[in-house]
Amino acid sequence: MTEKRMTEIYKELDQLSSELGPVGVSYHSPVHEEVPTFEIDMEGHLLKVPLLMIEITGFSNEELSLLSLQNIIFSDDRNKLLSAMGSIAEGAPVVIIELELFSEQSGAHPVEVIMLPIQKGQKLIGAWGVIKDIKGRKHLEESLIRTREVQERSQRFLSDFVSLMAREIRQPLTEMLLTLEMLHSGHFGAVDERQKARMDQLITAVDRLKGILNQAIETSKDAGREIKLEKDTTDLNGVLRRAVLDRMEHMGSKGIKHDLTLPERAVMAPLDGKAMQQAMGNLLDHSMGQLPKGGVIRIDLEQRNEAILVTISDSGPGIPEDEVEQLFERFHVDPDREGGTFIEGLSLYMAKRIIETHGGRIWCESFPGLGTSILITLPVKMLKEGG
Amino acid sequence: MVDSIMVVEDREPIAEVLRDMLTANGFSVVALATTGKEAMEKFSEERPGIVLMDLLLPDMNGLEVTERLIEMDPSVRVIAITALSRDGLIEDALKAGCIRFIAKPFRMKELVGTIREICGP
Repeated sequence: MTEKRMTEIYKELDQLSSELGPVGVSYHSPVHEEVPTFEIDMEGHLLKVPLLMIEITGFSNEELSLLSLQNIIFSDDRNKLLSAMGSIAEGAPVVIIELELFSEQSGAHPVEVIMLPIQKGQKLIGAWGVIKDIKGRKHLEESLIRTREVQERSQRFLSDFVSLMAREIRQPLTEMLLTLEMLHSGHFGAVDERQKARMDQLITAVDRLKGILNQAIETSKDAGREIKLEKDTTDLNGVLRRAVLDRMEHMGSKGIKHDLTLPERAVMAPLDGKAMQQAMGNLLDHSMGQLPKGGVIRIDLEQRNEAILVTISDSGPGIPEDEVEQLFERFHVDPDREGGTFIEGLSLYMAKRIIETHGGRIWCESFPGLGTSILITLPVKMLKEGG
Repeated sequence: MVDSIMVVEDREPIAEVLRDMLTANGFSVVALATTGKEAMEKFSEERPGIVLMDLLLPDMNGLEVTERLIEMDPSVRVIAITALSRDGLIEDALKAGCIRFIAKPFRMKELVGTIREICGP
């Protein structure tokens, strides 16, 4: 290329730049001997980028000096670039793609290329490439993916471990339960009423262990699962009514009273009814666990301007302040309550995740000696828009 | 006529207590087996009408044994009993030909009720 032609190109480019207006600070490479268009060789391995036409952001000066004029791009990226060029040729006002530039000196650079058409009069003469270094963003995305993988692995481990442990425990439990029942029935000799009463206690204890195991398995599976909501227009009143109804028998057996206050009109919202019912059920189970015989649970649903507010209050002994903060943590165990297990902690954690996936918020307020309230808000706007 | 029952359970204490329990409830337990191989041998000798099948056996998968027993006698009714809890196990058991599924640990009334139900009036 002659020096005369070079001068012409610079002139042309300067003119173009002033016509287009400043997009940003351009990086002027010391090497610029090409016409102002992207060029890919016939083999498709080389991208010839006249750096004069490229705005470069995000690279340090040192990195910039290493970016060579000819950057190798990978074949998948080449197709992306060709297709972007095609779109520009067809009149797209802007095309954004992600690709990796590779040079021997500086290695691979993940970049975002924003391509804009350059026109001279009515004629499309090339594309203005704005290259943005997205190494930082990519790094963050990758570390998020890695973190998620680690979480998934540990979740699978937990779930497998719980299942295996449950399997091992269920065998001796079966033996204990069946043998106890046979003893109770007098199969191995006469049993008096006092002995029968003791055996009944043991049978109840084994039943409780069975329940804990089943809950542990279900919750350890659920806790790691990504919550995928299947929303449908659902009556939140109905969800709460059903969650209470499912627990009537249990409440009756514990002598727990309940007071359910719902708006007269249905509160229709696009919710995952099943997931929401599980969340409300878990919260009710927790409140029931707090209560002595004869305790009361109040469930209120209010629709306010900006949100739906659900309150589940119990007349239990309350939770100490430091416990309140940890209540929804994954493996929280209530240290003061006899029979409290980490499973309950998991079920509250699950409830929180379900509420939050619906765009809502959940927190706890407790007054030692007076009781505990769990409050849930679901934003009306989100619900109307379907979240 | 009450159906005859075979109990396939690798843990002998459980197998024995099951036999005692079923006998006490008026059923006729004709065989106990602790492995898949033993189950197939005793099945071909005794031809019980009902089989209680533990799905975890030391030598074979209980579902595989179920399929083999059904091949020998399509009229046999197999009740799966298991301590396993993996997803899809109930579906697999039904596919293998089990007609009921009972999770361990279970209560006497659950087992006896299930057998009475499949025996009919």
